Amino acid sequence: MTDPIETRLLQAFHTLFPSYTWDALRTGTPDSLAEWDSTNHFVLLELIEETFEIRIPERDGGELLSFAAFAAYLTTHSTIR
Amino acid sequence: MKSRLKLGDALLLLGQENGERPVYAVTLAVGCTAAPLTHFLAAYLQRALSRKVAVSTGIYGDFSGNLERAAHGDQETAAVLEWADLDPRLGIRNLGAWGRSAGDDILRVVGSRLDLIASVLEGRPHGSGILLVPPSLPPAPVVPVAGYQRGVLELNLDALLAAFLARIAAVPRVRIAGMSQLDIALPERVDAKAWLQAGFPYRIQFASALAELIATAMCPPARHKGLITDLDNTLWAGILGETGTDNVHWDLDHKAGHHGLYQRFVQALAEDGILIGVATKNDPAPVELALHRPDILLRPDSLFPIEAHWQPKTESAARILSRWNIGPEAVAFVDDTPLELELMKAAFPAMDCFLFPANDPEGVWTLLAKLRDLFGKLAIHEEDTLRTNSLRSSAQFSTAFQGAAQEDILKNCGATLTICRIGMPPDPRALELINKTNQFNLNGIRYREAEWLKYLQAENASAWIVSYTDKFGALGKIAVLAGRQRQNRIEIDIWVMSCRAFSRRIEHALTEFLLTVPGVDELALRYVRTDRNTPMREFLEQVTGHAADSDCILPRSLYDHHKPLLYMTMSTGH
Repeated sequence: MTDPIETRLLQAFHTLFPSYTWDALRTGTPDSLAEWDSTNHFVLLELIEETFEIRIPERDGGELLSFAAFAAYLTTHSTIR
Repeated sequence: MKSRLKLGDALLLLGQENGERPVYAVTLAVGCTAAPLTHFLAAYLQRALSRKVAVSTGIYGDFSGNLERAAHGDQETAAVLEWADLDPRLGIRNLGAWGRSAGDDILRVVGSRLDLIASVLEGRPHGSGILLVPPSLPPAPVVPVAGYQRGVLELNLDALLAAFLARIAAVPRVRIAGMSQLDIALPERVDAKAWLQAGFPYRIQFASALAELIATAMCPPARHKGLITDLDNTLWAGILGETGTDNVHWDLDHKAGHHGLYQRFVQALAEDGILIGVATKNDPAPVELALHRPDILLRPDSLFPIEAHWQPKTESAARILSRWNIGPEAVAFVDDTPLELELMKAAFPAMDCFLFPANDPEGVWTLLAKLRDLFGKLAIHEEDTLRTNSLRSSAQFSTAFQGAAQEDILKNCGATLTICRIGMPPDPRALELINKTNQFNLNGIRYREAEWLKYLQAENASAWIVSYTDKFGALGKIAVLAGRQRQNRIEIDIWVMSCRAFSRRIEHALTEFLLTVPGVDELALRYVRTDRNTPMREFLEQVTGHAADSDCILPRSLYDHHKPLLYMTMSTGH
């Protein structure tokens, strides 16, 4: 069964990085997704906060540098499923 | 009203295909981190223009430099100013000292920065439009005055800003965004975390609201042209037929001040060139008397036409629209009876219908705000003030047409056409005509100011604006032509003419004018059929002698074969 958090997260990633395949997004990092620069990292944080209705503290936001890191973080912190 | 976008919606919108028109490029001049304000702005503009929009930005922390570069470029620009751009101490990222002792120096820095920005805007030659967005965030609490009071520093900052805005509002092609339309309270605007972390000072919901305001100010909806108003319990309190002319009221003494408020507002609209018609179920004689009471605030000569009788108001509206020669989508109807509004809406779904809340002054105040957004205009042209008289003279022209031979009227009406080449900076009336004319319009293509300026400066391009007058009165500037000469041919890209100028053979006279340009013996007309440009199609079919479906060529010989007799005097100018 598909993880609802991962599905929503994937959708958010796809919205910001539409030119990549789902698989590329699932394994995505700033190194593998060329558009994932510091500006888009900030936009991504805003998008994830909006999508999952949470606030990600600055100290956490700086460490979320892969799709997997976001997924793990949201599993712990988000109440949206 | 379209919904406000979330960030995800904006990004999805930006990813969609959007027709074949070229990407429209605008500049967003800010001092803060621009994304995701850029995404929101591009999405709202894309939604308004139905075409792809690309937003370029500048260097972080350099508002003045970004604005200066934009001011010397050829792209339409939104310049979003915040206090921190004027002095970093007024933001929260900079660690410059706060306290009362810093106040004087901050005022000095802000004053000189505003002066510099004003000089940049005043000094540019023919740049395209710039929308200046005044600070939407409060200045940082440099001086710890309690929030329920205004401190001297903030008041002086406000004074500097107000003087600056008044100064640049006088600069051609600079507009100021109306910040009172932002519906998010000050404490809900700042995102301290994002500001400190990434240099982006806005909460995401507020960034969306701000971008929506900017896009609306850059691409305002088409201004409504006419207001049809009821009289009883709308323009005045009371029923004329029951109480008599002297017993309808609009003053405070009779608790009818909100009707007086409405009258003054409608008079102000009339003076700005908005057409004001009346649809009332009344006998015409008492209406005439009431409208000529010496204390009336809405002058009777501002009203045209007045439909006072007992027939359905929808029939009155149909006649008024016909006299004005405009569509219902450009008209608002105000009446105190919900049933009349419902009937009107059923007859004219595109018309905006508003209830006049006769017993609710608060509601009248809200109504005026809605009408102001529909009709409001920053500045008016001579043609705006001519419009009602011009319609009256058109009506006289049509009446004369019905009573006499067409040729006699045209021969004896003393028509004069003045054709002026459009130079730089262009007459703003030209772009207004291009973007609001539907019926006699070659192809319906709308131009942004930046595109229009670029067009005018292109090689071989020429454009003309045309004025008309006859013995029935002046119609003002009523037509625009623009094209490019290539050898013996003029390729016409733009040709619009106000519907007020129909039936006078002005279009034929203009064809004649184009075909007498030295070296020219044919016109290539970039015609596109639209839902509304039937008068243009009929004209093309008449002068070419065949069906008009797309671009058409009109050689001199063909035009000579089909042209009617022309009687007007033509003059040219600059």
